[in-house]
Amino acid sequence: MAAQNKTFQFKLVLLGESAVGKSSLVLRFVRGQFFDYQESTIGGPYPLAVPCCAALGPQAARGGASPGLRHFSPVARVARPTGSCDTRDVTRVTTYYQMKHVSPCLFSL
Amino acid sequence: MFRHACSASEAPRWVVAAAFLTQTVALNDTTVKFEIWDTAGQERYHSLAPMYYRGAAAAIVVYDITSPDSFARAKSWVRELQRQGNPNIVIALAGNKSDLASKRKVEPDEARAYAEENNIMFMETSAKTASNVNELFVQIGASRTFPGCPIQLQPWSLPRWARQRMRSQQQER
Repeated sequence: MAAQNKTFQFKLVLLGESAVGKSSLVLRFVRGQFFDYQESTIGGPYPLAVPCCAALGPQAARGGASPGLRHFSPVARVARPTGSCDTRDVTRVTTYYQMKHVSPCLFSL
Repeated sequence: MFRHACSASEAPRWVVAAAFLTQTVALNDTTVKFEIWDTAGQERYHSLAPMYYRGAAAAIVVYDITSPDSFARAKSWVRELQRQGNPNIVIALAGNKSDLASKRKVEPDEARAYAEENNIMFMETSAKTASNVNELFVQIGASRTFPGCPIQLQPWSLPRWARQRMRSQQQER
């Protein structure tokens, strides 16, 4: 038997009515935890962070365009309508990883 | 049989009507990384769902075995995915809260019949007791039907139910 050591990566989505246990299933699978009162998945404390990161773009994500971050003060972030962003970026995995680097900056504003 | 190669990524739950988590599972020599989009269930977020299921290789449609309404909703999600999702998407129907057997309103036979009719996977799970949770994800990971993602698993590395499933899939082909 030859050593294969292959890595496969794929996107998996959970759908279903609210309070059926989607987040609990994920939490059980990923962290092995379970909470009797799991909070509702509605967007967390920073509901607009993802569109904002997407709007900043990959250049900002690399840390090259820090002045752009100034536009995303907490007030501006809340005021910015979700619909204004290009949602395609949000679902792109590469963009996601880039976003991940921006988000701490956003949260510290 | 399988082990968790690493625990959850430390990604915080900053989300838009969904949470993103990753989990990597090692199945013998093969590593499967799940990029999990956990969507919000409220009806008002329905319009955002296509953003999350677009490009998804697999979907878990969850209902609550104590709620017939949630089963009806799950069926409508399956219909939507079959109509608008990735044509090769692997759909798994999960009847969650199987620990609440005394309050059961949806019979497993009914759900299984529906799943067979629609050619999707089915499993009753309980996040609370961890029953079938890993099995659900591993079965999805082990399914070799992803486009461009031919997971090559050694049959003897899998639990019996997965071997049986693989065998039946091979017979279908």
